[in-house]
Amino acid sequence: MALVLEKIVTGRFDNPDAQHISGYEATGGYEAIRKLLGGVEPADVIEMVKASGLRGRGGAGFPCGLKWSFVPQVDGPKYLAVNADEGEPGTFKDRELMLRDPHQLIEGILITCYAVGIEKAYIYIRGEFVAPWRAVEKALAEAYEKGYVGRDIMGSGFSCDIYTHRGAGAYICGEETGLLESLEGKRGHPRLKPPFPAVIGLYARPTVINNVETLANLPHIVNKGAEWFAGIGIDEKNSGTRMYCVSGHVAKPGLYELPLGLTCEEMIHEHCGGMRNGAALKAVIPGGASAPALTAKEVYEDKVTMDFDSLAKAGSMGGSGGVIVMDETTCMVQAAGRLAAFFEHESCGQCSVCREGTGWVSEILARMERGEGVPDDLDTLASIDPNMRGNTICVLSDACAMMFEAFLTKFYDEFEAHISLGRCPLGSPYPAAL
Amino acid sequence: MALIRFPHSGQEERFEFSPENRAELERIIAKYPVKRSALIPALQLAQEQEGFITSAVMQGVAEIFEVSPMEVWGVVSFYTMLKTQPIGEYHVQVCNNLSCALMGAGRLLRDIESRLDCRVGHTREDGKFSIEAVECLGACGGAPCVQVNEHYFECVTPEIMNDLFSAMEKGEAVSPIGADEVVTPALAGAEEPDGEGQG
Repeated sequence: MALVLEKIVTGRFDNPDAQHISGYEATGGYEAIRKLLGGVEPADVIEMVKASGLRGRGGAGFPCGLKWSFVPQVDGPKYLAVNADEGEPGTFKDRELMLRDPHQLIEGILITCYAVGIEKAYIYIRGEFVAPWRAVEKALAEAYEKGYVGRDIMGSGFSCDIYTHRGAGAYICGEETGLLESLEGKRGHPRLKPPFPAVIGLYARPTVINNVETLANLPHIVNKGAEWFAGIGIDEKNSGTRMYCVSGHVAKPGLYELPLGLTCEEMIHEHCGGMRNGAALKAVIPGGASAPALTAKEVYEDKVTMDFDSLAKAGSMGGSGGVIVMDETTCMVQAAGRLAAFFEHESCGQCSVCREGTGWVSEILARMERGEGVPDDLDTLASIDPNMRGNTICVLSDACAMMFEAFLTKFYDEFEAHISLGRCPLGSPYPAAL
Repeated sequence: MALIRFPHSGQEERFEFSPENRAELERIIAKYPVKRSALIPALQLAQEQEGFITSAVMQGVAEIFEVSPMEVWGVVSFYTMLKTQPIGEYHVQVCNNLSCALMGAGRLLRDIESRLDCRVGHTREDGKFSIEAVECLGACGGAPCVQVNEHYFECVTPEIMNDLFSAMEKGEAVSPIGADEVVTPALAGAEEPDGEGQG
């Protein structure tokens, strides 16, 4: 099946006027919510989104319509928390969505709130993103002024308030229940699940949590139909496009909106200009730091495709769409050590398995890179791995274990060489781990 | 998880929000059905006002939210952007996560340290600059990325940073480099007049 190369959420990126409400309206903006408020039943919107096959673009890839349908139809307030706490290493799409097309996000929020019966939405934007926060605030002011947000929107009787909330620097607040805790003014400690946020979420009320990119797709699905969306991508469960955030050793790093189902090889060589300096590919992290790395063999021989299910089958995941490409000059011990240090830094510390596990993994990998590794280290790492999985409140610990297991098993010789040689065989001049 | 001690000081004066910030805080509190949600925004406001979070700030904020100062400290110590030590007029944050490391962030950091004559994790004696190595800033396509106060600078080299630092030393306004550039001039004009805000 030939994949349709169509820009959906980045369609207005080349049009600087789209940041303003007039430019957004001139390009079909706010038509989707107008259509819904004109007489489409909320339940039909949920069915439409289910039929489109839209899956969450934040990390877990959970079907969006299904997530909405878990919200009980009870009296009293329900909330939408928009996850704009973009922090997964390798990911930089939500930032650009907020900078370049903030009204698209606002319209996606309105559609969600209308479908689920929500009157208050909070956009949780990571603290470092000052310019994107300003862009969203400005767009919200415009939308309030024009009556797209607020009381009795377009005379329909539907009311919805949207607020921004700025984070203060903590990766774990991108975990949905950590985000809720943070939004409630506390330390961002993830909550034990169940109960899931759909039932007991923000202020113990039913809450939907969606990623920025997920929401940005909604106006287009409403305007063009579920069938159109399902036709883009490789199959009905991997439909639409993704904003692939490509970084590292490619000739043209950057943001690429491509249909789900493209091979990793096509992405690198046909869209990102190939490898930088024509160097050989060594490894690719396909979905943010938490996604296990793929080898060059998996990319070129197994021809792994970049959709949710194919990556899961290959033992990795689509995650957040952060694609980190590493060439032959990259030391795998150093790369794994750098990410382990990140997970150690970002562990919230609630669960001892994660707090201690990430620390030990980071320390062992760092000393291996310094040439101070001992033969037992490889067995120690292998024994830490299973203990770090399935034993904690959230999946940060699992993500760290999945990350280093992939590096360790796929590049075992390189880890062994660090120990037998007593130094990094690649002689990396600059230790990444600080 | 890093252990940070409570910045206790018995001699500090009471902390009060300026009238403008107090009004801004009331506006923020009104956004939420539960007041506590405004605790972190309140701390961010206080940091803007005071430069960093002192024990007096935590006690003052605790009174407003009717929680114990230790409860506030629990929150402050969790978030990396809430500072309990003074930072420089220009706080230079160098991303050192994988994508930036692959593009030379390690060498860049060392260059910046020697250019500013300031070690990472420290504030220069004259208070002009501080340097921090940070985790992913979310601008990996523009690696290596450096954030100074609120501005992002993407795809930087030691030469570019040198020019930027020279401008900062002279007190000249600097504009972001990379995706942040797309925000309209009017938006950029919403900043403080000197072009740089604290923290």
